[in-house]
Amino acid sequence: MANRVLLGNRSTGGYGAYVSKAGHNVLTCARKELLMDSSQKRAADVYAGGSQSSLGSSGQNFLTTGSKDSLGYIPLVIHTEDKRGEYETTPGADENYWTQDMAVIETTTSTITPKTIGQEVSSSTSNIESITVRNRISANSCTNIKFLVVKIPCAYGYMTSANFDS
Amino acid sequence: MANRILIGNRSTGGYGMYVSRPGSNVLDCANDKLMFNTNSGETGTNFFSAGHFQAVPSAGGTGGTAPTVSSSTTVSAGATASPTYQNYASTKVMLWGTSPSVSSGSGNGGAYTYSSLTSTSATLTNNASVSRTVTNLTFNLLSTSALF
Repeated sequence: MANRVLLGNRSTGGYGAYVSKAGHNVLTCARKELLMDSSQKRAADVYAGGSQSSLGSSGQNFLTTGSKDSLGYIPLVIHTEDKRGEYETTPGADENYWTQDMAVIETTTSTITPKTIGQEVSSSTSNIESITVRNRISANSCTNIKFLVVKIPCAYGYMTSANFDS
Repeated sequence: MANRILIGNRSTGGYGMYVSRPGSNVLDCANDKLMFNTNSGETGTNFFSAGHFQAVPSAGGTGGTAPTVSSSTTVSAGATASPTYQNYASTKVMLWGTSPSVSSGSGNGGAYTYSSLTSTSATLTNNASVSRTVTNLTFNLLSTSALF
């Protein structure tokens, strides 16, 4: 069996804690084969998360449970919901809307909120309508959302040395 | 060089294993400066982490067998399939798929949906008007609570 755990001086990375993937020697393997590498600035520690059968425009405060402190930055949130994948509609003869993924959420330092992918002019009236056909509907709401908030800054203005280097 | 690893009694957190981020002293740094700890249910300003972001293997991962992390499923238009994964986290898993666009601009596009999650499989529905291939990843949701 390969050496899997190292607390000490690694030839690549220096002193620290290292754990390798199964079948890889923690002493000498490439860094991509490490499950844990304390020489790196950030790892994907999960700060919050959960699952909700529905989530509307009021969003969800992910700091509420446990009265957690704000991280001080907008974090990376990995989420899934009932509707994933592309959205496409052809509302008029010369109109076509397409986007790669309609499962859009807005993330702040404390909340996640589902967002519509946009609006369009009705093909039959002068009304402005949310883009709803065949995919995520009800504009700013979604169903069966699951999410994990990880301690990695992921927003303009926060992906800086102040958050990554210290 | 700062102390980086502590296995023992930390002034904040008590007995456990702690690893600090580069440049931070593991003995007395703020919790945000830790990149690993064996937490003991801290809350509020002492909260550190709910756990590590973990993929649930689709196969393997026992003995000397390296885990296979992802699976690939091709689903016909309007049809369903049943991607499987290992029972690492019962039904508290988050299925996250990725799929190339099926045909931009043709009117065939559509969503795909995971439902009916069990401890080892889920139902994947293709709502598009043409066949699509989805690469499935399953993540450990870490908690049985609705929010954590």
